[in-house]
Amino acid sequence: MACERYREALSERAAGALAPAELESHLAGCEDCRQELAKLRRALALVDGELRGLLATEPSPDLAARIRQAAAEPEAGFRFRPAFVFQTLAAAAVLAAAVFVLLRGHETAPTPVAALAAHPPLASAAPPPAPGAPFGPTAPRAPTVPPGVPGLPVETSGHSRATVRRAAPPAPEVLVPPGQVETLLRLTALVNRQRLAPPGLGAAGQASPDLAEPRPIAVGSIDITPLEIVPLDPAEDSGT
Amino acid sequence: MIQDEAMSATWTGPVSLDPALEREFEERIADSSTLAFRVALGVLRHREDAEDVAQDAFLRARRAFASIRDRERFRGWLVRTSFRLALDRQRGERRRTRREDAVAVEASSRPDSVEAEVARRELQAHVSAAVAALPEKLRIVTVLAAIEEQDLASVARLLALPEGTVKSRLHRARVQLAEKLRWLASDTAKR
Repeated sequence: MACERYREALSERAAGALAPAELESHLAGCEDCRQELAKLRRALALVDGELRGLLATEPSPDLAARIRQAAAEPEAGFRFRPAFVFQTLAAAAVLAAAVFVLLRGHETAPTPVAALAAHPPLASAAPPPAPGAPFGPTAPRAPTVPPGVPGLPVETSGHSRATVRRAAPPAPEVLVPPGQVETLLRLTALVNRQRLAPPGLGAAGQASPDLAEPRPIAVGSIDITPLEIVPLDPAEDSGT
Repeated sequence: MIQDEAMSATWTGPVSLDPALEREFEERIADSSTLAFRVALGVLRHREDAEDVAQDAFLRARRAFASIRDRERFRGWLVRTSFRLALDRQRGERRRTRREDAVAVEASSRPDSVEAEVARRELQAHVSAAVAALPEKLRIVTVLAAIEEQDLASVARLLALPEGTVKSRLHRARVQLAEKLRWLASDTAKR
């Protein structure tokens, strides 16, 4: 376009600036530039009309009241919205229900066996272990060391052998389904009796002192046959 | 970037004002909440978001009210804060598609033909994009000039700027807008 050099001046003119005399005289004789100026003015008129329409929008009638309310709220950093309050209350209700269900579930949950120490002993079972003593298949048994019998030998650095009695671990808890407590106690008593008095080693219900002592391993009685080492690859053996 | 004390007053809780200040603050809410809303609307083009921003701006203003008690000073502070908060919100929510929804809500309230409605929405979108592309200093002047009906003295007071500066900025803004949207005028003229 031959009038390209006037383009910037035309934009300035459309935006309201006074046109230099040169542009004015050019416009008088150039239809294209007159049309271009009209286009630019029309574009600005569209912008003005659109902005005027948008910015004449009135806020909600309760905006001022909402601002006052928010300013008075303790948590005034948030906008007060009824929907937000409802959602918060709903969330609190769900949470409360979840806690309630959890607590009720806990009440009907399986009873820990440790809490059954006060249960009356079963008629056919061996004498129950002392309260708090470990028992059952999941309970590691503390070694019972009779007085006067050497305990477990333990090597301690720089010290002679010392007899160490391990402290009894705290009573373990086993979760038992409701109604299965008695069955489990019978099973536990049976297992304990079998362990303490295997057939042929002692009377039922009596612990054998031999069982409390670790048996020495007779190393000399083990025969070890020397193995013959045969190389898989003779060539490798010869170093070639 | 427009930097002032507007964003420094962060709201951390309710502020109790003495009765005289409380009365004045009430007056400011009554006569300036629409201004704050419109400034935010000029940026966000979404009614609810603009109201949120207006509310937030007033809560901050309350905290700083003792130092911006004068009406003119208060309105200037409020305009700058609303503009800044609206820009922040716009940047934070740019990924959301609420802008289009907002245009649809405003447009659907007018009983135009479908074709006219579509054309109007297109025009809104183009004008919105062109104004949003302006530098911030030119953008706020453009929005305020539209709100204040081209009363540049009033815009100058709100922005605490010399009137000549406002005039110059507005002119630069209009030159940019005219060049950016001249194709739109051609397109509209053909219809």
